[in-house]
Amino acid sequence: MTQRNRWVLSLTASCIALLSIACTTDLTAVREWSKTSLEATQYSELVTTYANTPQRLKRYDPKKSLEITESWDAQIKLRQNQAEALKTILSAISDYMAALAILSSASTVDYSKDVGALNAGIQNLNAGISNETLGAVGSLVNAVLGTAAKAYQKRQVADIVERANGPLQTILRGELRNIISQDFRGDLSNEKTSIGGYFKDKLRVKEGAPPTSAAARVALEEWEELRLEENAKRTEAVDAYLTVLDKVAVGHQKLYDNRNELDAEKLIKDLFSLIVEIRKQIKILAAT
Amino acid sequence: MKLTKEDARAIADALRKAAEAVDKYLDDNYKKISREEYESLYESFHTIQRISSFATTVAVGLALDALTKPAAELKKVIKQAKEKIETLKTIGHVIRVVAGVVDLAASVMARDPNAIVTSVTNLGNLMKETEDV
Repeated sequence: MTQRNRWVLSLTASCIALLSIACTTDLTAVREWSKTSLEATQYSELVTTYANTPQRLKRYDPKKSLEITESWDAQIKLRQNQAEALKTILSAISDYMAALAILSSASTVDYSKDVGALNAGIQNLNAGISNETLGAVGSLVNAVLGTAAKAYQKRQVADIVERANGPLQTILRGELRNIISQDFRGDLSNEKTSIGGYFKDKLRVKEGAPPTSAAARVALEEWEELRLEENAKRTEAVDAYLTVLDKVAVGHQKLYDNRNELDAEKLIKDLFSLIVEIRKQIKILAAT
Repeated sequence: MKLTKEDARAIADALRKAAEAVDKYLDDNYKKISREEYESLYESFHTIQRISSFATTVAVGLALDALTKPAAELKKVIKQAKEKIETLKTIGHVIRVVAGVVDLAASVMARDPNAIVTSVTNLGNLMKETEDV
């Protein structure tokens, strides 16, 4: 056996060993789940709604004294600053999902073009290696490299999932959820009462006040309906976004629990069913 | 005593319920009460709403403080993830550099001056990309 044949044989053996590891290295579910989570968490309209609520409430507040106007304006400014901070937190979640999607993407470890260039270079060396052998070696190098890279990639994804799970769960299940579930929802409930109070006041026939004309009544009723519909849509968006946060938290916890077997059949099934559920919420968010 | 986010939320919630109660009272009784009483209660309704909204702003501010630490930790992990992506990309780049070296060797062996110049230029470009990676 020539030196070259021994080398090819040894390479083949390495390939078989590595391929046996790589056959079970499929991060498609991880990548798809990360991409869907990225798409869902990018929705930041809720934060804008929260920041603008005092502006809308101010409209329904009939008392226009300087002190009250200044108090609303101070609150509007405060909320604009808070909105920036909230958007930064939401974008950290999106950035993480984007990084996880790229890290788990098959194209990140696809070196076939690079190996192709290397093979072409070797062929140009004209070192007495037949095209057939060179082709076989090239395929093997490609397989070995791809396999090793995929195994390495899997370990890197597991490492990142392990490091991120603590802070991510604290954000998703902790104060971010409380802010959206309690504060945003409470705020919208406040706005709903304000809308009702404001329009009812205009429609009430009060002692000593001139009656409202029929046309004005119809217009006011329509405006009230419109404002309440907007409020209901915003509330619907809050519910949808909360579901997104919950599904993302559940999905990442599953990734963490299975980080050493990221291609486990049960995990893949669970992630794909979470993707379907998150997609439903994305549709709702897009419609609000 | 320091106000916590839970306190602020409880205050906002209680005020919201109070505003709803005043609104309902006005709805049920506006025909029975005097204009002055009505105006006074209607003003109270808005004052309660204003304070409730402000209590919510305070609660969110306090909750944001609690999010600072985990958000900073998550950003650290994102940085690590990006470094890992770069490492994976570098592997492909290293192969391309090796291919460039082999290409240069082939040109030298073939004693083709034009091919040598092209190979050196290509390799130089690849090395520059390496510095950027």
